[in-house]
Amino acid sequence: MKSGTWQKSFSLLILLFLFVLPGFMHSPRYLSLFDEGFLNIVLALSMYSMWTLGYVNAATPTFFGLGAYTVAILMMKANLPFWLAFPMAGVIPALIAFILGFQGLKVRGTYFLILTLAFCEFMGWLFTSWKSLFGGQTGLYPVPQPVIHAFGHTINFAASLVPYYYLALILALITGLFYFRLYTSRLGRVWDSIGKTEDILANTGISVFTQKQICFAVSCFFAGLAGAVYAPFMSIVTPNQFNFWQGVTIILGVLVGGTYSPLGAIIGTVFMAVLSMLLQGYSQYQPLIWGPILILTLLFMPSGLIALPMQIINKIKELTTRKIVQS
Amino acid sequence: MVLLETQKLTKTFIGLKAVTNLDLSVNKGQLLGLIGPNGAGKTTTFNLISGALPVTSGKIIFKGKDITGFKPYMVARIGIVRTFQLASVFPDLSVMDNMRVALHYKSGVGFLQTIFETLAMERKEDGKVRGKAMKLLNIAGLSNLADVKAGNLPGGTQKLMSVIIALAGDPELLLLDEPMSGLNAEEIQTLIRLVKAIRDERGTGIIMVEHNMKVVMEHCEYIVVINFGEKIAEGTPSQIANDKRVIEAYLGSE
Repeated sequence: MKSGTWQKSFSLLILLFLFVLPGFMHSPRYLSLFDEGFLNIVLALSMYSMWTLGYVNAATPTFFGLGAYTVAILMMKANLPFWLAFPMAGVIPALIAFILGFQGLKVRGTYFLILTLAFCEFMGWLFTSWKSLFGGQTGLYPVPQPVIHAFGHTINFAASLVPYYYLALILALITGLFYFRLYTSRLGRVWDSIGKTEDILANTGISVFTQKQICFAVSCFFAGLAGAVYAPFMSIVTPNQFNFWQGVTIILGVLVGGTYSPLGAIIGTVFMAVLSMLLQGYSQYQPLIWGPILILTLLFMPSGLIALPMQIINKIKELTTRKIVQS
Repeated sequence: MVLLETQKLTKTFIGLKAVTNLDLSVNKGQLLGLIGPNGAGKTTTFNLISGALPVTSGKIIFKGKDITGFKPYMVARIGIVRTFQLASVFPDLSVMDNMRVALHYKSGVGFLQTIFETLAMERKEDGKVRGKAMKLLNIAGLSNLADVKAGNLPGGTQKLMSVIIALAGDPELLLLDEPMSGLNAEEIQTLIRLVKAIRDERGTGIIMVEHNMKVVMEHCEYIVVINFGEKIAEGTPSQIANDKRVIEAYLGSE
């Protein structure tokens, strides 16, 4: 399929570019922007996979936060090295998601949204109130910097942001590959069929509930891992880093990019990241701008940015054939 | 051989007796018609048998095993598959993909296997699945439509599709919920021929809820009539046609 190879070569080129970028981009501000961008991509993919099931996980930032707190707590209080704390930061949110899912996934999407919203608020309160574990309002600081020994060198995360850039990029790459593989596989086809036709699916013998459980746990696993990179990157973990509003931005990214494929979620997130970078001076106006963007997207671009190139090409074809017919 | 029987099956919603003390049974290789006026409780009965609704009281026995309270996917796994009134297809997928999804459970693929499976392994598995899918599609003569998006198929063809999807699970009992609704005469003939072929070649028991009296009287071997959630008559088509209570309940049947 021609457009498929196009997409693949283009993505490979961009990937290559991203890998060599720190070679000539040294500004910590931009390195940190890219780092956050990569982590947001992981969160967007996490949100996307629940979206295709018909569920909006309003607590995605909370699972992100759980990953961050897990890494900080394990490194600061249990003195675990980063490479041990990192996987735990994925496993613990996944387990919590699994437990939450027992009730949350038995109800329809609207109630799941409310449940995750309530969970988000509850955890926000817990992060603030349970001072001995989470450090309260001021949070946990300083989060120890990872020290990784590889290929005979010691990668010092404390010295510059470049290791964090690559760590986040690799995480985003692994998450992206995972979901691309999943959604082109036969299990992905089954998961895509859950949304509106889950009764028919149940009639083929598939336990839809189990599939939803797995999807939810996996999506929160990745969200947690993103948090594990975020904690030492920021050096501090506080409750107000993880709130509902963050979730809205993630959802917007998925919507604007296109909800038909993981690539859409990525493109939309990048778009939103670029937009918020351009609007940096006006961050208090963000809600004022996000709203119209959402409305405009739903009205004029319901298939998202990812469908735009094809739509433009089709429009051009339409117009040129009309001209030929007329002349 | 009795495939399924319900014993005093009852379902009450608050204040509403949807199904009351229903005794129903269907044999292997039997085409049973379940008829009654609108709101009689026919679809509710199906929902109870398939596990979509919890039973208030009574039992559902399948091949001697009590399956009351089984969830829908469990009911499907033990051999009872139902179709829905509105077409039971996956509209956004191609016909072949519909079959792939329908056959997924039978292929026994788990989550971990999917992630770590190589493309070559998946293609090999897919070859087997395609083979099974084609065999099933051939039963209904749909194999030439393999690449068509299911949602774009005409209504009658979608109904055929939904029966084939149900067949993918190799059921011993099929529950067809108003399969003839919305079909023209020709489509009705095609569908009933398919249903009877399934019964004859596989020995599948079939319970068919239908409003189309002509189809029921012509093709069903045995009929159960319910009204207001209760069985008011049962028998062969000729017995039912002459039953006063049935005629009373059904003023203006086709």
